Amino acid sequence: MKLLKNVITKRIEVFNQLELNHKYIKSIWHFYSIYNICLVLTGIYDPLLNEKNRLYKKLLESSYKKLDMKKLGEMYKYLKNDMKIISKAMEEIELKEESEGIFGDYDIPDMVAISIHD
Amino acid sequence: MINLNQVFTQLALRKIALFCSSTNGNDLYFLKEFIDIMINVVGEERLINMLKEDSSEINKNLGENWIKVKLDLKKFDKIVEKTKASYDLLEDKTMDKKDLKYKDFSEKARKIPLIKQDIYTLFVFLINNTSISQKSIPPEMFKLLDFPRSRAIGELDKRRVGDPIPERFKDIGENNGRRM
Repeated sequence: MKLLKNVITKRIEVFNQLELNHKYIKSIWHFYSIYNICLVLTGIYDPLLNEKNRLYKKLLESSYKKLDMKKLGEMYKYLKNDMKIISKAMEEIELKEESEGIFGDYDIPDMVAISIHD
Repeated sequence: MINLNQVFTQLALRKIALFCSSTNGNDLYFLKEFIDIMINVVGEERLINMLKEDSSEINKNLGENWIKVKLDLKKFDKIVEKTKASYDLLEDKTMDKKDLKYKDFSEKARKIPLIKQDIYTLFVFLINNTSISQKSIPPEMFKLLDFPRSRAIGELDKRRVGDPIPERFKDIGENNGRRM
């Protein structure tokens, strides 16, 4: 779970960075990549996924000349709702990490164990 | 849980880091590479058994329909190979819409998201069932994304010796940087 949390947080970071640099096409792609991982983690089925894919493709094609702002707005409507699933997945990861306790996080690279009896 | 060798752990972490920090098209390529490595390390037979014995229905389905999943992975590989370069060309507006490449890309790109869900399921399953799940990715493994418009404010002047002095530096150059 530690690695998956790392993956999601890094991708969110990149998503924010792309968004700040007005790279909307790439930022939406990043967002839906995180979203797909979160869907697997939470076990939720999204019936609108194909529709979102279609909308994204149209947006990608429109970006060739001038970005279709209307379609971008539609995409962002979906994006706002889907953010809930990401936060839910993060909550689940944190709960699992808590249940794993100290052993889950106890990973120090190159750690050497020393016996007190030696 | 399967314990991974240190070498394979590092290799897998690097692939995941590249997947995290790459943009559209290329990230799927690294995701596919990670899955390929993990299938080979874990072993196909073992992976199928693990999928079949899992409590989740989706994972069980993947295990039972492994032949289909494998074919999908091959298909996915071909599509990603062909489309990964086109996304950047499309965004940089260097690909001609009348070009054959564009038509090919348009057809192939449509197929990617439909297969994608299985790939992500496999990705999460492979991470959760190996020792890699407790590792964290070192920050130096992430690829740095560069944005042409957002450069550092105090950027260095990259002139070589003998290059003409630009207009804005001319008054400084004549007085050797000293203000008169």
